[in-house]
Amino acid sequence: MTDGPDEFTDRAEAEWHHRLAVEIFGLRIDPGLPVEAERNVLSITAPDICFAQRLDCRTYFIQTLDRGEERRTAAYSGPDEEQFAFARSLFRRLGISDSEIAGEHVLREYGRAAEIDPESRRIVSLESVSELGNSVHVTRQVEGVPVWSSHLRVSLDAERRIDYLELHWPFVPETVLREARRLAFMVGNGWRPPSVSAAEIESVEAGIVHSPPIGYFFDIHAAVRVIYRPTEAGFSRRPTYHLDRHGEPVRLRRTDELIHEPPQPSRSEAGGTPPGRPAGRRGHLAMLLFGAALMALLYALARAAGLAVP
Amino acid sequence: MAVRFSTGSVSNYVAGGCGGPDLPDSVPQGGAFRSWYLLSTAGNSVVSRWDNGDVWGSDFREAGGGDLDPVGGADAVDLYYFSGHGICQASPAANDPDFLATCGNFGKPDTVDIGVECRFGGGRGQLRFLFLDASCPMDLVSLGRNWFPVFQGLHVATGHSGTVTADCLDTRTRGDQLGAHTAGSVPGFRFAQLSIREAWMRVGIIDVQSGCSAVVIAAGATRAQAEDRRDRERVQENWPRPGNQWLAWRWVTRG
Repeated sequence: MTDGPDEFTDRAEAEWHHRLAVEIFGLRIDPGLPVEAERNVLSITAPDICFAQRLDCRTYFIQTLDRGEERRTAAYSGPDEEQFAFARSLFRRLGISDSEIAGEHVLREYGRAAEIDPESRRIVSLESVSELGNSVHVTRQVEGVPVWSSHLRVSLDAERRIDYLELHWPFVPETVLREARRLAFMVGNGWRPPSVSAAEIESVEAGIVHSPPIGYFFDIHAAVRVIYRPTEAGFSRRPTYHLDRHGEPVRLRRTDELIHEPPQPSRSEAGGTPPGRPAGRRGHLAMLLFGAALMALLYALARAAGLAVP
Repeated sequence: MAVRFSTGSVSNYVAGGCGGPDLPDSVPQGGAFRSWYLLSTAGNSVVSRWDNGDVWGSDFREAGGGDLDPVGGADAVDLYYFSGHGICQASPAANDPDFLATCGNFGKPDTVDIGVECRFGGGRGQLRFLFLDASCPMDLVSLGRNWFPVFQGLHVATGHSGTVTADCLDTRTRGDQLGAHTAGSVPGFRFAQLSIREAWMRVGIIDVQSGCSAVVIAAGATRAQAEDRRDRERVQENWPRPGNQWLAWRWVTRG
């Protein structure tokens, strides 16, 4: 969005960020506010709103800062179609084709409250359910290939201004798209995922997976997503694997790689056993030593008292 | 304000003879959640970070004092994050229990009936925030049985409501992004610090099946206080201990 010989200066970058906020997202932000760069993020923070973008992928954030009581009660209440149209207009301004929209839903937040008897913890009164807010959730495909990690979540307020937005829609390299198509072909022609204990295959689909919106790394891969259905009664959480063409897990770097946590012993080695719980290994050793010492003391006392002991 | 927190994450179920299947992303998810709390400039500190067999069912039980275990009890810290199995019903009813399922090397049994066995924040209990990433630990239809008794000083809890066919998938992303949104100021993403409700309503529907709901519940002395905590309380804000005469909850369902 910036032309001219100075397009890589700090000033040009700040102007670009401001223009995105105003021209693409329709925000009213004082043009004099500074643009801050920290880690992989550019942001402008106004008294009532923050606009930010990641520098390593096409990801934008708008976060309304606390407007107090007014904000909490002023959720958008218009027709769903108007919200979908708003989302699509954003995509157009960003140069994203409608063909990349895999699905769009309005997610409604509901709330309820109950008064509880403090002694019995039984319900004294149960209030009716209220709709408290809503947002549009858009999922993505590229040329028919699902991009599971991409999304738009946008919520409007009663005045049809953006209350919050998270648009995580990274560019997909041609090589990744090609590999995803190759994986789709393989899935359709006998590629078999690995078996998993206590579960059976529920679904197998080729697509694209990438890093989440908040993070310091950006990775993107073609993958086969295999969802396994538990076979044992009771458990139902699905193990979900993203695999490459060889059946190996694809890797997305995570923030925990920035943290050094020392290895820790097993909990039984670490001790700290609470009352009523079997002692850990260290606890068992201490109890054995204590028992042995007690026996030796009793033995010595008995001998000293002249009792006949073996 | 810094918080003292613990994580308990269980990936290995089969080898421990606890049924299954294993959840390979559960332990990494706990690590991702923890990493944001450690990267935050809020000064949070880890009390325990047990995985697999070192996460015990007794860590969540009031009886026997296991929940106060200083090196793993859920009620011995300000915030506890759990990822692992729960148990869903095919069609949950008002009197059905909610569960957490561990696969511990001690502290048996592994299955914790939340409504019967968990009481957080009362007496010497310190727990203010409980984040559960498991199957159906917070079914909307049975909150009265399972969650109203739990709040003995606990401020806010999060979980999912669902069925055996509307459950959450094993993922690293949900816990990762929940941590990012609630840890306190994190470099680059300071603007993204949200109330617990805002964070969970956004990330709780990541990688879940259609029909699964992200649920947040909070307590207060009055309806207004309970709703205010449900909607606005943040981990880093030092809100006082709540009354528990009222409970307010909020949910969003994946379409």
